Amino acid sequence: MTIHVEQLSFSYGSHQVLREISFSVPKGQLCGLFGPNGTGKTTLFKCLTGVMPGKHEQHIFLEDKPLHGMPPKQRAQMMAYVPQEHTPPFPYQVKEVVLMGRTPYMGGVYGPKTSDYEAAVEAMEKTGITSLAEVPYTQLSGGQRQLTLLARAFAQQTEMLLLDEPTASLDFKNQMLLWKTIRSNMKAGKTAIICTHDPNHVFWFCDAVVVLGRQGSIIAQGRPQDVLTDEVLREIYGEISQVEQIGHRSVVMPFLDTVMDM
Amino acid sequence: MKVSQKIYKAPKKISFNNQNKKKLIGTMGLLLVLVMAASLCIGAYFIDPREVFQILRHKLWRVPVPNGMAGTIVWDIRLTRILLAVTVGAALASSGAVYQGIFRNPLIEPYILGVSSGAAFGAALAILFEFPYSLQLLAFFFGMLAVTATYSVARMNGETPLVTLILSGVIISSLFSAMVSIFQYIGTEEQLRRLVFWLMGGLYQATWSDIKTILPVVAVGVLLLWMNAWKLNVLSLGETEAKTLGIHTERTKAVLMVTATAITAISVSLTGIIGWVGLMLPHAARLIVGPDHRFLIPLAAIMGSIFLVICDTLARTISTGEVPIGIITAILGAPYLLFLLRRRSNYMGG
Repeated sequence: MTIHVEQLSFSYGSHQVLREISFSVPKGQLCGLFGPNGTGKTTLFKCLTGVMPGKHEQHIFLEDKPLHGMPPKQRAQMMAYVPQEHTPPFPYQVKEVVLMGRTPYMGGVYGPKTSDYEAAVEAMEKTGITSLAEVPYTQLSGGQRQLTLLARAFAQQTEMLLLDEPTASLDFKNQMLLWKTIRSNMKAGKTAIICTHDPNHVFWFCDAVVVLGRQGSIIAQGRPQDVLTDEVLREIYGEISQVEQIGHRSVVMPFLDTVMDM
Repeated sequence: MKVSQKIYKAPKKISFNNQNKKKLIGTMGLLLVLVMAASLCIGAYFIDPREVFQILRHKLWRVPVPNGMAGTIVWDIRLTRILLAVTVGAALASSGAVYQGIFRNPLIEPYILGVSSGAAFGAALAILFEFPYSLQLLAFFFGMLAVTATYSVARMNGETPLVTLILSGVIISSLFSAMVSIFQYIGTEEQLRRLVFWLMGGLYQATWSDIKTILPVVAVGVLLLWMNAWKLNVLSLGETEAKTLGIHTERTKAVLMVTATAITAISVSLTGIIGWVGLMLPHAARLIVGPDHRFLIPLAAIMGSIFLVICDTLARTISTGEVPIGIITAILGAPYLLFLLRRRSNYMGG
């Protein structure tokens, strides 16, 4: 599924957050959404997920269909959202949380059907959390919780996946595990947009990147190798790093000496 | 905050079989019937279970059995109170479970949006100005009015954020409470006594006509809540996530809140303000059956019924006079919650 954003602007009251954003992510691509804090990344994400209904949704298209006026159920069958991991108030078991991903396919009154149970089990197998199925979600570690949320999104069986800084609070190993799971899901021809703060993750794991700048507008977009240049990084972060090559891989290296001197 | 990580054995096969939960609810239902039967026998005048059985047979299936005073006591006095206790207990506990789910907080009770203060105002109005036969009607009307006011105040741009809702509930409640205080100030001693007694709650006025009004309403209401249980599960993850999972959050919230409020208001209008049931029993039920509202709502309802039948039986037996049931529920409820707070601070902190 292709997602297409055309001339999207958004403001909270008189405070304009997004200015004429245009980009599209074709089917099968993993696109990073990259930019410093306070550039409206979260707002753009909220616009894309459709949790803030409004006129601006006329500028967002899922496979040529405008997001505007789309019933929540239909939207949820096309697009899944993986929030940042958080602690919910009630101790649902992992399998119950994953099963909630099937909600857009359920009838009004009755709960899950056999096919929903099967989809939930399959999603847990895909993310490797079957052994956690009966554990209360509230007792999981951050990494396990993020994998559970990912499994829930998989259970939703959508073409489109939106991930909001999924690796933000994870340890190194879990970060790699999560990227691996996301990447292997891409093989099935899915489309994904992922918010991240780590330029190296964009270099290593994303097919494309959209860089948001201070004014809430896009300052660059395209393949990570072409886009994340020293100039672009300098524009958003200032003189703190440079891009180096290790083998044929690009790595953003901070100026360690200046960090240590301060 | 962090609990020690337990070692969990991986299940051989993931099963979504909920037989155990269903069995548990069935067992609780059976317990409710036993408690009701026991309560029919117990009282200032003990009636032999066999005689109770005969009386019920006579009343239900017209089996000719001689029955005198015992018949009146069992059928018109005790059974009406028991049925009212069952209905009100189920209404308060299930709407408590629903409110806790919507507000994502296990310490919320159904009176949070001002239904009790509104109802108290209506009752005070009826008592002071002697509207004939209209105390229950006024209590119900003002209970619903208070919640509607809370909801309208909190509504902005087609959204009702939960924090705003709770705050406006506090505001509206204190407004109505202030007006009740004015009535207490200007009322006569007799009116004051009636008002205070009403505020403390009681089931002593139960009549068959009350039962005929409230039982169908609460039955339909609880059924409606239960039918929305899965949506409530998703809603309790938070509104943003619920929206991305395809839930029409504003609509679902409205259906759940209107229903829960209506059955709470009708209960309060008939029995006065009975505290703790709507807070404590959903909480206890969640500890037993888990947070899945498909099982939590029915279990909380049954446990609310059991609890209120026991409390009301105590209310009419522990002294020669009638003890207001609100006092008993509070005396039993406060230590329970304190116990939970100390034992499971992690869980309560949410």
